[in-house]
Amino acid sequence: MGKHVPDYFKISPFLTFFLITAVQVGVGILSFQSIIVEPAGYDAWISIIIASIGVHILIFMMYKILNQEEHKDIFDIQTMLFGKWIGKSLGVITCVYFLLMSFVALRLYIEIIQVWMFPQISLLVVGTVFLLLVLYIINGGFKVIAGICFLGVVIPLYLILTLIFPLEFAYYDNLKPVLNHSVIELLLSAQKMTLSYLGFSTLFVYYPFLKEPKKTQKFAHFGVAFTTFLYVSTAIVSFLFYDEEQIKTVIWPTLGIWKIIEMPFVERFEYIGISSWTLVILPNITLTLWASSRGMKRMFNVNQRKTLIVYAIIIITVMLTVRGFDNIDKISELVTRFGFYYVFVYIPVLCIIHFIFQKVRESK
Amino acid sequence: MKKIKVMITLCLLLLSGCSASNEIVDELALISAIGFDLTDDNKLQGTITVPNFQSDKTVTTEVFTETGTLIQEIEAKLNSEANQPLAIGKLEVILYNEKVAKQGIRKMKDVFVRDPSVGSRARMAVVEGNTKDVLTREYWTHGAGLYLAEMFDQNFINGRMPQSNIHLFTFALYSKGMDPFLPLVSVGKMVKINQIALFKEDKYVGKLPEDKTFTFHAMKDNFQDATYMIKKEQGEVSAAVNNIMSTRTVDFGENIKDPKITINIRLEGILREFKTEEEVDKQKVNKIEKQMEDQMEQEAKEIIQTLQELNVDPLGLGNKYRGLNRNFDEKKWDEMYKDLDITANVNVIIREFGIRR
Amino acid sequence: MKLFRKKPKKNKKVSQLLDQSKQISSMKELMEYCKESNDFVHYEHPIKNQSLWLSYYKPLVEAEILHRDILENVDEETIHSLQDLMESIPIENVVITKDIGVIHEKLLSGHIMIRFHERDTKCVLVNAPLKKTRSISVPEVEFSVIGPKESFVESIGTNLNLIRYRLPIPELKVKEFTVGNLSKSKVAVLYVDGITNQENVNTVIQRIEDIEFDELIDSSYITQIISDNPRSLFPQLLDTERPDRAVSVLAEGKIVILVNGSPHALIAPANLTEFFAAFEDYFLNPIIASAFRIIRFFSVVFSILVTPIYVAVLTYHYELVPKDLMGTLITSREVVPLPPILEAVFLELTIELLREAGARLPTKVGQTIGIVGGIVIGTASVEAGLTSNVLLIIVALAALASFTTPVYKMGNTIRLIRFPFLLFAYLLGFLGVVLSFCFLLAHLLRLTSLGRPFLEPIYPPRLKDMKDSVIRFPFSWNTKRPIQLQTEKTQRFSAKKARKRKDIDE
Repeated sequence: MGKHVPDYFKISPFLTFFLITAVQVGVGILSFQSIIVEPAGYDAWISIIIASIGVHILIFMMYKILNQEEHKDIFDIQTMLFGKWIGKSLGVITCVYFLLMSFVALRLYIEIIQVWMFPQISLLVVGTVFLLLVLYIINGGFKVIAGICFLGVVIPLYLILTLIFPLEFAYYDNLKPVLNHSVIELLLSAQKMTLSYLGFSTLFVYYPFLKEPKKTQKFAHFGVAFTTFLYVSTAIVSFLFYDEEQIKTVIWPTLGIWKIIEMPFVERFEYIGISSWTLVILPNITLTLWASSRGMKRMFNVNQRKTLIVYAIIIITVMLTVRGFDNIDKISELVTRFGFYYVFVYIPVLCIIHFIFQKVRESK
Repeated sequence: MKKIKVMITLCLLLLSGCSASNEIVDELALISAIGFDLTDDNKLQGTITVPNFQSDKTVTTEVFTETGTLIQEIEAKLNSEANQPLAIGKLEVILYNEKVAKQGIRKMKDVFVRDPSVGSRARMAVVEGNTKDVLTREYWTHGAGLYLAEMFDQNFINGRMPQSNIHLFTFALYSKGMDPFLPLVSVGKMVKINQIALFKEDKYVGKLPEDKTFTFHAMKDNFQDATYMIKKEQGEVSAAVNNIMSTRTVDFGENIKDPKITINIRLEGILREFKTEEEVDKQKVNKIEKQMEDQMEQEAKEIIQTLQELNVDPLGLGNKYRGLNRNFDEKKWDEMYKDLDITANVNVIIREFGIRR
Repeated sequence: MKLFRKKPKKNKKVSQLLDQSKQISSMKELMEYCKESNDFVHYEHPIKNQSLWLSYYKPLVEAEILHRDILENVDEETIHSLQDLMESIPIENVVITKDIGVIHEKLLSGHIMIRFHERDTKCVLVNAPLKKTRSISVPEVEFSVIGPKESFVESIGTNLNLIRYRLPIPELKVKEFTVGNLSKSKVAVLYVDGITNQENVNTVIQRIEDIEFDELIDSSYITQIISDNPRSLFPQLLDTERPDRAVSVLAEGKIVILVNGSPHALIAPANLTEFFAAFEDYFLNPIIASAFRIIRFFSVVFSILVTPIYVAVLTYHYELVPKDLMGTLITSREVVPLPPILEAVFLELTIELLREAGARLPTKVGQTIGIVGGIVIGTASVEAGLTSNVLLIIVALAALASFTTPVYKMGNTIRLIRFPFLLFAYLLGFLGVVLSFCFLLAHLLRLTSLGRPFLEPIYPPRLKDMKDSVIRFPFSWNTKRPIQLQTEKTQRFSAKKARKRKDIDE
C-alpha cells in the first residue's frame, strides 16, 4: 500500500509545534469559556490544565504507536492490526470524522460572520471562496499546508496583545476563592474542555511527512503546552472581565472582550479580530480536509485532487441544506462528542492492541 | 482551458452573489444618543439624536422622538421619519429618565447588549427629569451625543465620577455580591453629571447627592487626578486638594463568619488653594489633613447608612466577601448586609503645597 | 518548457524556416545567397602577384582591423597557401575551413572570409568584429548615493569583465549558451565552483538549454521562460543592473545569468525578502539599513492594504471609525456621489495613468505630467466632488509607498495586486481583505525559485537566514551562506575572528 513519502516532501521536525497548535486553536477559543464555566465555575481554568495533561498523555500514546511503525500512518496501522476489512472501515470512519471536523470549523466560523458582521451574507458565496482557498492550499502539497499552519499561528499571535486591554475592567476578586469546586466538577469541566483540544489526531496522518519523526515528539508536546497557555490566558482574562453569571449568558466571550477595546485609530476591535480569525480557521479546515482526503488516497488509491473536489461539493451541499443554528449546533455537538470518544477511548485501546501485537510479533 | 472556465464561472457567481448589504458611512443616520422617557399614558418615549456633519466642520443635531411599548417599535417608527437608515453602531450615550429607571431597565439594556454593533463602552446614565430636554439642548459645535459622551469621559478620567458603561452595568447586574449604579445627570440651567443613582437589581431605588460622589468613588475604586473640597462647618469651602491619588483596601476583620468591614482609603494630594489669613506651614497642613479625613469619614458614614437602608451594595463588598469565604451564600449575605458593621478609615497625605514657600 | 511543448505544430514551422542555411550545400550557392543582401561585401583585392577574395558583412566588421591588421600584413609576405595566410595575420582564432555551415555562422558573427579564387571552397576566416557599445554608465534603476557607480551595459563581454575584475578567482565559472533560433543570443551562466550548489546550476543550465524561442531580446525573456511558475505575478528571478550586486550574490552561492544585449543580470534563486532589499543597504550601517528595510516592508503592506481598508470601513464597518474622525470622513464624502469602491478605483486608476504616462513620455515632459496630475487632477476632482480628499491623501500615500520597492518588477506586482484586494474589500469588507491576503499567502507559499521555497526565510522558518532579510545584521554576524541556497561551502569566513572582542584597553 503506497510508497514511503520522499524526503523532498517532508517538513522540519519543529514545524510539528505549529501543526499541533494550529489545528487545536480554532473557533473554540472564541466561545469555550461559557461552556466550561457551567460545572466548575471560575475554577475552570484549572480544568483547562487538567484537560491539557490528558492530551499530553494521548500524544505520548500516539507517538508510542507511531514511533514503532516508521513510515506508516494510521490507515496502514489499522489494516495491519485489524485486517483489511475492519481496518478499512475504521479508516473510512476516521476520514468522515476529519471531513466533518473541517465542515464544522468552517460552518461555525461563517455563523460568527453572519451574526457579527454580515447577517445577510450568502452561505454559498463565502463557503465557495473559503473552499477555493483551501483547495488551492492543499493542491500545493503538504509543505504548503504546513506553511499555512505556521503562518496561521505566527501572524495572529498579535491578537494576544488584545488580552491586555480588557484588564482595565478586570475584577480580580472574580477568581477568588481558588479551588472552591469539587474534583468531579473540575473533571466535568475538563471533559468539556477537551473538545477545544481536538484535531491533534491528524498527527496520525501526517506523521510520515515529518523529517526525523522520533524527534518531533517534544515539539508536539510543546505545541499542546502552547495551546494550553493560549486557552488559560484567554480564560483568565475573560474570567476577570465578566461576572460568573454574566459569562454564562454570553455566547462568544472572547468577541465580547474585543468589543471593549478602544484604540485611538480603531474604536471597535472585534471586526478586525473576527476577520483576522480567518487565518486561524484556515489551518483547521485545511489540515483536517487534507487528512481526510489523504486517508482516501492511502486506502483506495484514488486521486487526491478529485477527492477534494468531491469533498468541497459535499461540504457546500451540506451547508446549504442544514440551516438553522440549532441544527448546526447539533452537528457540531455530534462531531465533538465523537471526537471525544475517538481520542479518549479509541486511541488508548489502539495503543494497547498495538502493544499486544508488538509483543506477539516479537515472540514470533 | 477547463480550469479557466471553471474559474470564470466561479468569479461570476461571486460577483452576482454580491454579498452583504452595504452600510456606507455617509449614507447612514448614526444615532449618537438615546433617551427614554415615560409619557403620561405610561408609554415609552424614545428620543434619538443624530449628528449632522456640516461642510464647515460644525455639527448640527437632529432629534427624533417617538413613543411605543417596545424599543424596536420605536426604532421602526423613527426610521420612517429619518431621511437615511438609522444605524446604532456609533451609539455613545444611553439615558434613562428616573421614572423609567424605577420600573427597571433590564429589558431596555438587553436590546443594546444583544446587538453586536453596539459597543460595550456606550455610557449609561439616569436623568433627573426629561431626557428629551437633555438631548435637545444646544451644545456649541458638537452634537448632543458627542458632547455628552465627552462630558462623561472627562468626568470618569478625572475621578469625579466612578466609571460606568454598558458592560460595567451588566457586570454588576449579574454579579451576586454587587449592585449596579449609574451616574445621575441633573438638569438645571446646565446639564451636570454629578450624582450617583443606586440600583437594586435593575431598578433605580435611591441616589447619592453631589457632595458624596467623591467619597463614594474613593470607597469603590482606586483613581487619580481628582479634586476635593474641604469645608468648614458652615458649608463654605476652605481648601481644595488637587491631583489626588486614591487607593483603597477592604478589610473584613479576623472572624470571617462575623465580618467587621473596614474600608481603608489612602489619599495623596497637593494643596493648591486655601482660604486662610495665616501662612501655610507644616502644622497647618497637618490640620487640613485631619480636617479632610474627618469630613470624608463622616461622609462615608452617611453613604454607608444610605446604602444599608436601601440594602444595595454598589461597592461590591459582597464580591470581596465571597472571595474570602468558601461557603458564600447570596441570600445569607443579603440578610447580613443591612446590619453589617462597616466603617471607613481615611488617611490623607498632603505631599506638597505648591512651589512657593 | 511546458508552454512550448504544448504546441508542437508551431515549433516545426519555426525550425523549418531556420534550417534553410543547411540547404545551401556549396560555396557558390552561399555566395549567391549572401549577395542578395546589399550589405554583404564581396570583392577581389590584388596583392603583389596574386589576388585575394574578401567577403564579409560590412556592418559587422571593424574596417580598421581589416585595413591595419589584415591587409597590411598580407601585402608584405609572399603567400602561397591558406596556411601561410593564416600565419601572416596577427589575430587569434583564425580558422581554415570548408564547412559551409561554419562559414555562414562565422560570417554572421563578424568574420572576414579570405580566399585565393572566387571558386575556392576552402577559406580562411578572420575575426574582425565591430563592437559599438554604450560606455559604462551610472546605474539608473538601482541608483545608490554611495557605493560603486557602474552598471551593466548591453555587451556581454563588458559585463563579464565587470564581474571578473571584482571576483578574480579561478573558481568563477562561466558557461555560455546560444539561445534563440533567430537572435542567436549569447547567454552566460556564472557561478562560483565549490560554493554554489551544483544541483541549482544544473537546473539553470538545463532550463536554458531547453529554451525554444526565436528572438531573445532581453534577460527578462529568460525570467519569464525559466521561472518555476511563469503565470505568477511575482518575479521569481531577481534582476539587477549593478555588477557589485551580481558579484556579492555570486559569493553567497547564487547563480548569475547574463544575456548579450541586455544590461540586466538575473540572479537565481531569489526569495521574497530580497526584492525589498536595496543594495545600498549594505553600504550603510546595519541599524540604519535595517530601519529603512523595515520602513520599506511596512510601506509595501501599507500600499497594498490601505485603500482596501478604506473601502471596507466605509462600505461596511462604520463602527470602527473613531468618533473624532467621523466628522472629517463624513464631511469629505458628503458631496461625493460615488460609492467608496468606485471612488477608490477611479483614483487608483488615475494614479496608474499618471505613472504610465510619465513612464512613456520623454523625461523632461514626464516631469510636468507628475505636477499636472498631482496638483491639477487631484484638487480638481476633490472640488468637483468626484472624490473625497481623505481618499486622495490615502491613494497618494499608497502610490508613494509602492515606489519605495527597490526592484521595479516587484513594484509593478504590488501595484497590480491592490485591485483584487479592492474588489474583495468591496464584496466582503474586512473579511474580504483578509481572505485575499490569505490567497496571497497561499500563492507565495506555493511559489518556488529554482525549486527552492520563495518565501524563505519566513517559511520554512530559518532563523539563520533572517539575519539578512527584513533586518540586516552586521557583517560579522553573517558568517554563513544562506541555507536556502544549500551551498557546498556554508562558511563565509571565520566567525570567531570576526567577532572576537578585546577586553577593555587591550
